[in-house]
Amino acid sequence: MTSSKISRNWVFLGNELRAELRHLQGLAAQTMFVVVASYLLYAGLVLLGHTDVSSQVVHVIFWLVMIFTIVNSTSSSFFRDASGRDLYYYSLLHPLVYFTGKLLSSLVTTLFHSLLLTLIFHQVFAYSYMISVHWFAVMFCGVAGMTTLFTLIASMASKTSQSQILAVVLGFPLAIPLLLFILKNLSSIDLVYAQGFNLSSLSSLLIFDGLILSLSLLLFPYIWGD
Amino acid sequence: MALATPLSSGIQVNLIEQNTDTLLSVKAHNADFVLGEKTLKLWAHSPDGYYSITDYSIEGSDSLTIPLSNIHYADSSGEVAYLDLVAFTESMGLVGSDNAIPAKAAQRIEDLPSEDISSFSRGSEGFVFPNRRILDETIRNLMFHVTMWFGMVGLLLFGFIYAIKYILGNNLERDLWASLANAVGLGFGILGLLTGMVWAKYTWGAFWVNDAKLNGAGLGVLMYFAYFLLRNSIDNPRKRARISAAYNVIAFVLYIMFIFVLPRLQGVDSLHPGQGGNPAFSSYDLDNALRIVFYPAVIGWTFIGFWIFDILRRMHALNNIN
Repeated sequence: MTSSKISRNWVFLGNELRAELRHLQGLAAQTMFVVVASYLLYAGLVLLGHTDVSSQVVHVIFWLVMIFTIVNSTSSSFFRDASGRDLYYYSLLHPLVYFTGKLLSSLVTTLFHSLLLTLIFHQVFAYSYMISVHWFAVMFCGVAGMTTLFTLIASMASKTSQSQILAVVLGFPLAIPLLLFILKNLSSIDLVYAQGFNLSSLSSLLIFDGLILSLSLLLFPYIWGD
Repeated sequence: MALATPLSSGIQVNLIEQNTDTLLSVKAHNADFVLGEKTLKLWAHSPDGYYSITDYSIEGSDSLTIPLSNIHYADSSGEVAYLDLVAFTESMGLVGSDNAIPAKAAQRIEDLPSEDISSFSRGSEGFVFPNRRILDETIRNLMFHVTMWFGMVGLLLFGFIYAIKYILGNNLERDLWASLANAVGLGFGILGLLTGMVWAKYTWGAFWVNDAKLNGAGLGVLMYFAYFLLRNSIDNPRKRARISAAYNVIAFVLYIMFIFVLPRLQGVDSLHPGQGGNPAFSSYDLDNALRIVFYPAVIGWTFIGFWIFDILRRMHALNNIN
């Protein structure tokens, strides 16, 4: 019984990832946005000679692109199921299995995009700290927190009549403090990179992530039933 | 009462340049130097004691100037950067201005005898509000802005509790009460932001500053606007109640985090009292006269909020009589 519950989770996750790959327009749109934003930055800053721009500006743009990616991937994963397939899943899966499956599939795609963006920025701007434990730790915590938050918000928005707008409207006030934590962590990243990685600098980010995850796990089973 | 109670006497000190000298310009509030000229006394206060200032000139009934170079003080530690200025007249009593005199500009004299000012008392002016630096007359806003926030948090807590009650019980009336309480709370929140902006304009110089608590409060208002948008976009009453109860829980928990926890974190700058290294709200801003008005005001605003909620509830019930 236990093994079938666990394997159900992995099967569902595999299904979600396969669905993402079959409906490539979402993934393609996000990847294109990442590439286009990177090229614009390259053209506007490097090619035109404005290399004196502060690294914090580049971090802000990085996270703007990531927000778009996360909102897009979480919304599309829930809206895909909105027309009746979710009823089928209700009869099959425990709500938390459904939630973690959606969360993990969105996390896989958004981590892919964040790694792609990191590599591009590392090459274009030659920020050596982008290939470091601290950068990846902040990036992972930030992406995980935002994805959890927007997965929960998308699950609520998919039940309404104006889901696209509401996913953004509901999510942004909650995402802004998380963004502030992330950007605050990144603003001193040069120093932290020189000193070496320490977990305490991530503590506020981790606590916020934990808060969002626990709220989501508590509330999602209540939201999904019809 | 908040608007009519006078402020106690106080002095405000500024440095002004005149020719080649730097002078201390002392402005009085609710006090008169000319009338009290005979009993006027001034001291510079260092940790070692009070040192009389004899060289000053009275410019008008509410202002006088003191040349900095003729201020004498003693300081055994040698580390003091600023001295306090203490003034006394018969009618005003003892008033002081902290950190008013830059110690470098004054004359430090070894072993200068300090004076005993215990025989001078604070004037008894009846029921007055304290005169705080920067705040001056705007301290009255304490009775509106802060008390309204207290009422708002009470209302939003009520909404949160009823959202949880709905989650546990599926009784649609509880969802209605939660939404009405949140509506009144949101109204108070907007008024609180507006009164805060007016207060900020007069004390901090701008309608909005980059302050953690202001940003948190603004985000909170946005969250509750989103709550009402969510409610308006679902037609089925049970679905609406369920989804909005879930969002209410998230919004309230995060709102409490934004306005209470975040501004108090280490390394977060804040202009609000009680956060970001400022002295705590209760010891800094409340003296006994303020407390007498403040606590009833908090209760009053909370009652007004719940009264408005009750009126809305009854209006809704009357509209829905079939």
